[in-house]
Amino acid sequence: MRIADIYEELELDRVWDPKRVVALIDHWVPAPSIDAAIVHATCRRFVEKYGIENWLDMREGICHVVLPEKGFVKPGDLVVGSDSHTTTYGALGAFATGMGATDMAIVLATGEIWFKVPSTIRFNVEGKLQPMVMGKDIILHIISEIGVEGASYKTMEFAGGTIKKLSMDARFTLCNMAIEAGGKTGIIEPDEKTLEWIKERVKQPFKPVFNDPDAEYEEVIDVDAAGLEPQVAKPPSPENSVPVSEVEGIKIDQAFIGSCTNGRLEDLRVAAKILNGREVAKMVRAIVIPASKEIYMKAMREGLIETFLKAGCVVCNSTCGPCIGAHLGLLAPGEVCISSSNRNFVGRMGSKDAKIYLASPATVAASAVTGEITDPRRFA
Amino acid sequence: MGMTISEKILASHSGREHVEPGEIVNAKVDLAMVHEMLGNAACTRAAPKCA
Repeated sequence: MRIADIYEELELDRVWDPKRVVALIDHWVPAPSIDAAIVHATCRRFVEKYGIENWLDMREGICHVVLPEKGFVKPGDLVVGSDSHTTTYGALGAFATGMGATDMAIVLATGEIWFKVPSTIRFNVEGKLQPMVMGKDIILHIISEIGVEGASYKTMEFAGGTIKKLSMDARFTLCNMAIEAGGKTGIIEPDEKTLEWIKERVKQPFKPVFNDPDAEYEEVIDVDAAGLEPQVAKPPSPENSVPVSEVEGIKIDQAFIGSCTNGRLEDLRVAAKILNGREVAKMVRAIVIPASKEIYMKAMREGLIETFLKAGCVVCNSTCGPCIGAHLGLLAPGEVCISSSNRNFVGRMGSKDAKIYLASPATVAASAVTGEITDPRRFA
Repeated sequence: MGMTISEKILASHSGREHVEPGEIVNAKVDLAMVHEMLGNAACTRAAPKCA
């Protein structure tokens, strides 16, 4: 059941505030099947019927990248979305979380929803990252330390000197994957970098929210970033991360750079830096998907798209695509993919007999060049 | 006792001065995002309910 079905079943007849709803399609765009096309048609029908003001269709890209870019999310906001990776917006100092179709139908109808107040685990990340070690490596490492249920229904707050130095792109990656440890949300306290990033984007007034000095945390966990190697999560779970040195040499068939986790400009830049003047290994196919139109256009202007094409990658329109096994690069039985996305569950990207390794876009690009899992520091 | 960012946001959106972990609150949201989950699953080729 999707939201429109529940609207019919519960005989809901209104949207509480059509200005406060953002609707778009990103999972399967353009529609790769008749069923997807029908779902899209019914989305459009709902949008028209209830006069939802912010309808982006398939024009802008992946929801979790587009909403912050377009200034829909402000520090201090409470945001809910029909997708588990809604936690991404916490990088702006918002409380953001995903919900299923029934809860979302109630939110659309009333603008309200109940929460159990989560306790907060604070991750204090300190130390200077090595070259080619990215935000993705930090979050994969944290998930491997605490496990996929390690933060179940808790807020994961990322703090410390390393986080302060991280780009906004990397901060989004961290909060995006909070859900992979069971987190209700991921949050980073807003700072000058946050305010600078949203300056040209958010038009409405807002008031950033900060921790009280005497706030109580359920737990404070120290993370050493200086000693962190690039991480690779072995199938079939994001908690199976190991230093890349433990899996180097595993042959790959496909390399995917994209998704709401790692399809941002910083991700494309590091991948292009590695792929520039090099070629994707003969028996490997590499897929690059800029996560939004804005990123796609910036990557074009910077020449990154040309670098990818020259190296032998295919570059697709902004969509979730292969990350969810929807289209644009499914895996055959026995195949191995290294992916910058967020989940390596059985069958996630195609055949249940394929294997998915999760890594940073740097590690994915390095592996695409050599045809086997490779430490990106070799290309630093 | 002080609050974390996440507690403060839930408190301010549910009309409360203070909340503690574990409490149930009813909160007003600022924004709702919907993607393909908005559509009708009942309208597919297998079940052409809304054709």
